[in-house]
Amino acid sequence: MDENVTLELKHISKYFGSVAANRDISLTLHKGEILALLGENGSGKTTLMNMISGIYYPDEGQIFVNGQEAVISSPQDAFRLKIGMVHQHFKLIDIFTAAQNIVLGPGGGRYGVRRINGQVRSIAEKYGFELDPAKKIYDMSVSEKQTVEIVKVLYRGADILILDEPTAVLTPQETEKLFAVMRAMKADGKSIIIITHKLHEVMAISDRVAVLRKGEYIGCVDTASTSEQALTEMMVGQKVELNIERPVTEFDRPLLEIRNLNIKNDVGSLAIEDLSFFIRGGEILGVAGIAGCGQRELCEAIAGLRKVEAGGIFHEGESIVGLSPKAIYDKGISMSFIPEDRLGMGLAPSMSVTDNMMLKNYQDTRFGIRPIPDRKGESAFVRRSKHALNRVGAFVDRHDPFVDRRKARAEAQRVIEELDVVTPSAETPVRRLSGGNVQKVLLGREMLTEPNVLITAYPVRGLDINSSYLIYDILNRQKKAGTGILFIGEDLDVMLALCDKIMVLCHGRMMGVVHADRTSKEQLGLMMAGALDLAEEKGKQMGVAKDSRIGEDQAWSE
Amino acid sequence: MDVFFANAISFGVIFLFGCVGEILTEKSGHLNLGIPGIMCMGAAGGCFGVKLVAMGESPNGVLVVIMGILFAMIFAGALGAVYGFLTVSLRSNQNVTGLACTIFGVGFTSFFLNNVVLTEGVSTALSYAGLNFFNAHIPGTENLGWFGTIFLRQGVLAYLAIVIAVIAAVVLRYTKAGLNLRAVGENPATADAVGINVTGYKYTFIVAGAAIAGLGGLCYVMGYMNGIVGSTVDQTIQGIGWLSIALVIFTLWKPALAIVGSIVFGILYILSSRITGISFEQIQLLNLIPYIVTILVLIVTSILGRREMQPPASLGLSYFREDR
Amino acid sequence: MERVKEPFIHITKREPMPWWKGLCIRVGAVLIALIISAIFISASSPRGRGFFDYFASLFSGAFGTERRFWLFLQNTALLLCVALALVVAFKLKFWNLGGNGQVLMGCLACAMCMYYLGGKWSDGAVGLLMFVVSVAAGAIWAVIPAIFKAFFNTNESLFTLMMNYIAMYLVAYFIAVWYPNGTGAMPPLTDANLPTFGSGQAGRSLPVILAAVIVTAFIYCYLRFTKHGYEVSLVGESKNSARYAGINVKKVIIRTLVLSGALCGLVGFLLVGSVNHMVSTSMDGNMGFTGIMVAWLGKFNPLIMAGVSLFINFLSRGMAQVCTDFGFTSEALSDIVIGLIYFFFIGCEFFIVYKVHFNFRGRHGREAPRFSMTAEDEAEQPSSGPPLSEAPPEEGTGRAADALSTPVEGGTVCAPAPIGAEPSPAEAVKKRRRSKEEEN
Repeated sequence: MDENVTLELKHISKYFGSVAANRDISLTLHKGEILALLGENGSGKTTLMNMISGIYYPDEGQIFVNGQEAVISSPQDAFRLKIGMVHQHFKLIDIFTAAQNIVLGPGGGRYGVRRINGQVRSIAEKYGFELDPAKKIYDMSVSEKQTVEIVKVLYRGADILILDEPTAVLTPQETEKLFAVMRAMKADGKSIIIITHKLHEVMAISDRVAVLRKGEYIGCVDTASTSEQALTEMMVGQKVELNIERPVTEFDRPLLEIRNLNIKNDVGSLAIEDLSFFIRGGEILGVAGIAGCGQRELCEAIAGLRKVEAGGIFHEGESIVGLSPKAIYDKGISMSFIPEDRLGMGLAPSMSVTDNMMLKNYQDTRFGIRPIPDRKGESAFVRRSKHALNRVGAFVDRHDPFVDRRKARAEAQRVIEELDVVTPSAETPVRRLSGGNVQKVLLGREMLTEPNVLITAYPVRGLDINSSYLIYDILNRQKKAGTGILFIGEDLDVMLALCDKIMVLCHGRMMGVVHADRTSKEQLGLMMAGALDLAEEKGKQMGVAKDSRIGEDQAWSE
Repeated sequence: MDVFFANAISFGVIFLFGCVGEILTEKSGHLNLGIPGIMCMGAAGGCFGVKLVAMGESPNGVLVVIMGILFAMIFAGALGAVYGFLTVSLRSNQNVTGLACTIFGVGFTSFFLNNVVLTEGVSTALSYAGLNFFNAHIPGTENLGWFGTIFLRQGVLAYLAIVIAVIAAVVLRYTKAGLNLRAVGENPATADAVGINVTGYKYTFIVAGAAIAGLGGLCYVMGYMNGIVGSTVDQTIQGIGWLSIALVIFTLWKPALAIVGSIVFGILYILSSRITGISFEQIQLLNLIPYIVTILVLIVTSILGRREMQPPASLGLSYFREDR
Repeated sequence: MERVKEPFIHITKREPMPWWKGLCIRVGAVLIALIISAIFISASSPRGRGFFDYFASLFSGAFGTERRFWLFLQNTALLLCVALALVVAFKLKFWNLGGNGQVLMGCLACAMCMYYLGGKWSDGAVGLLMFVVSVAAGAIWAVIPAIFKAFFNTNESLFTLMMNYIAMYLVAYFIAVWYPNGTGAMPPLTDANLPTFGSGQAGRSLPVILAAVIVTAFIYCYLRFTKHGYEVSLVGESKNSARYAGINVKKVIIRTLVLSGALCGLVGFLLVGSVNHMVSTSMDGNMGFTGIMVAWLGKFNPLIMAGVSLFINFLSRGMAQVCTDFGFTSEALSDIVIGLIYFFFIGCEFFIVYKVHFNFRGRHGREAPRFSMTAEDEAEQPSSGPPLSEAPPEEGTGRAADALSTPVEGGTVCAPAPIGAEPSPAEAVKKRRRSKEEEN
């Protein structure tokens, strides 16, 4: 066996129920190299890595570590074999400090806080991290949490590091910093597998690329001898047009205007600070920013789910601040919100597709009691009693206690057919659908209400390329129909291609709004990190439309 | 007054056993509503253990106490293990499993005491020769004034309770095992990913917690009641068990605070039987006090709602590693 | 090469099971529990009764005489009402452990009307007031924790639990006030009789049974077809989704708990007004807890719950007879057996959701792919519990709605098609597989 091979997978397969997540995958990792594991969402990258780190157990196949066959049936085994994984969703205990999280693991006895702090600091220095060991995780930013994860793996002496989508939550500048750390680790003789689906990162950091598609191993190539286009074809299995369409539309007057908005987050600190912007009909306004800098709070506040501390939200010139979602709906304002947590907020996971269709309009049902019409030549008494009866009838009609499942079923059928949702039936719980189909159900329901303002938070998160393009397509269709769209995104390449304008947030403050065709990723990155503040340069007027529908007095009385 | 406080402590330690047991269980992420039944099992086991060695001519006091403690822990631990098996390995709903444990434990104790321990068939007042060993006092503490009466003339189980609470506090606060346990209760997936044996920790602390809680049952029968087994013993211990679970919230999942909390509860609980010159119906109203205080505490802690006052984050949820 | 040991037990999640297979597993678990209890009890019987006498006694306890039969139905009706009251709260994920207290408060309120007004007003007027007051008392007892849950997220399970004891001591207090003889017992009241159908046990039980039937139908429709029911499921499912849908979560919690408590109050009314004519601190008969088990085991479905409460009452009444016939002095035996059955019933759910793979080879790197051996694997399993041996090898589903997992064509997965399920077109299967893979 090659001395240089540190990890070798042979014919690994893993099934979930009757579905093959990984089928017959063989892979090698050399000492001191960075291997990129490339594949779409759902191609089985994470499943494969979870088997190396002991979270899952393979159904078939063998794993060799340093030439010895190894059984990794639990994370302890992986730990013993010096394999460490940084998961995409950080596995940290929120209420512990960084040091406590790092020291966590098998073994007993007392633990000396001071000694650990020292060790943590020396690791951080060695590879160029910045980390305060005594800081609680819930006080940390995303990149700090990631640092803790990496230091944790190093502290435990890992020689093989697996990083699962480490750059998804970072700014371009933070990504660069991470890559520098990775190169330092590589120089130190560590072997690294980085999972990603971003091609330019693969090209920038890796030595070799292994590609997975639909759970199957497609091939492994040297990074130096390949191109982004070739990798895409390996990944998707067909030639794909990587260009996202940006149809040119007539911009309408502002549909949604936000003025000097202040919102608090769950722990009571300011999540959005003095934010003003507007969306016109027929445009897509992207919102860029590192994760957790107020995007969620902003969406929830606009949808009426979060209290607005100060400032105004105007829909076609009408203030909707302080209105509950129901009040907004009852006013006839057609605004739709596609939340980032689809199953936790936009949908009820255990309910059927049909029942999910009723989520917002279940209260609309009527018995269908019609008023008795007036007739000519009836006495005043008869007429009055008729009117009284009609009032009673109307009251009863409004209070129909039953839901209308027949209508919901028809809507579900329509969404399933029009958006090509793959589901056994309209009665299947949405929890059992795949990510892409869940998103289609959610989007489809909202499209049926024909909104003129659409707020979408990370609409393609977790979807494969084909589903993502379908979603972009739907958004563009809405845009052409004159809808104003707020698009909270994470992938700057996508936003640059899809959006008309991009607003950048940094810690709840607006750094500026730029035209997507007149900016660059580097500029956006600097703005996300707070290093470039266009709003400051241009002064207060940023984010206020010239043809605003809000009267001067109205705006300032809020 | 001295005697009142002495009694309050000797009653309070029953809560202390139950509360510390439940704290350890909850720290592993499991809400065990079976504690009332488990405490009953402790009483049944303790009576059984005592009976094994106390019926002879001149029973050995130390042996009687040890057998009582041992069997209380075995019986209670056994029901705790059943709870653990169902909720950890079989991933059943914790609330429902806990209630089933309580129903089983209370029924078992009532049946077992009547049919096995008190085979004479009468379940009123049966005391064995060796029972007062549980309440043997430290020699030479008779005349030490109020301090001696309150703190130095308690039964052996009272001191055991305090020792266990202190040990639990130290383990949770300062040791690696305690840190790992808290990690398991906060986020088992994380604990698992760093190689902590989640299942092992859960089982260990569920069973240990149950065994400790079981000592509470023993303490009630042998310590507080001095070996008198009444016909409603199972119902009384059940009530104490529920209060012990409530006490966990009262003490913010801290065993050290539980020592104080349990004594407060002890005072409240025995208040109605120690105030003289009140009528029978007024006693019923006094009996309400501990429950009302518990509710008030529940409300106050929930209104304050600080991060430090929250239960372990994954309390009540079962963990399956390959869940997606 | 070094021999490496594979884990002996490997657990994976199953595809959803057809309902009949699940039912078989559950029935099997209950049967095992019954047989175990029969063996233990017949072995330890002081009167030397045998294994089959146990089942004979069980049936005779429940159905032996006409009176027993009607009592059996009456108790079932009461238990079912409590369970239905709790189920509306559980649908909301509100752990109402306060059924006992809510029933007791209903009892107390009803007894108060009878004590103070019985004989002074006409029976009809008192009866009506009894009904209203009992229902209100139950509702109040449930709505207090609900208000705190809604506004401060106060832990409802402990709150309701404490409310049980407050209710109990309040009952004790009033009995002590009314009958200050120190016994704490209350003789049956003779006034304020509710109408019955005839004079026998049947006549007395029928109103109670009728009430339960109406309540069951009502709750079934309420949860399934009404807007309120939809709101309850949505809030229970996810509070965020409910808020997103524009639901006032606090209002729904409070409104639902009023209904839950009111139904418990109704049971109190039936217990005192119709069945006992007096009140005692243990009148709730622990139905608040038993009701939880009924609701849970009945999968929160009112119709299945009716079956479960019939079975549990059959057991508890039958076990009382077993105790007498087998010569045990303590009636607590029935709690033990019922507890045992709960354990088995709760535990068997695992085998419905998960699948256990045993590895007897202990050797890594088999020649044949693992999944083609599924059928064999299971056939080899030792009888480690009823559910396993009853689980057929394939992972198919029968229900139309669940027909997600028909076999995947080609290669490594060869699960036979479930009997009776129509084979899906290959295209649909492909599509489905793709969609499933997207999930990873």
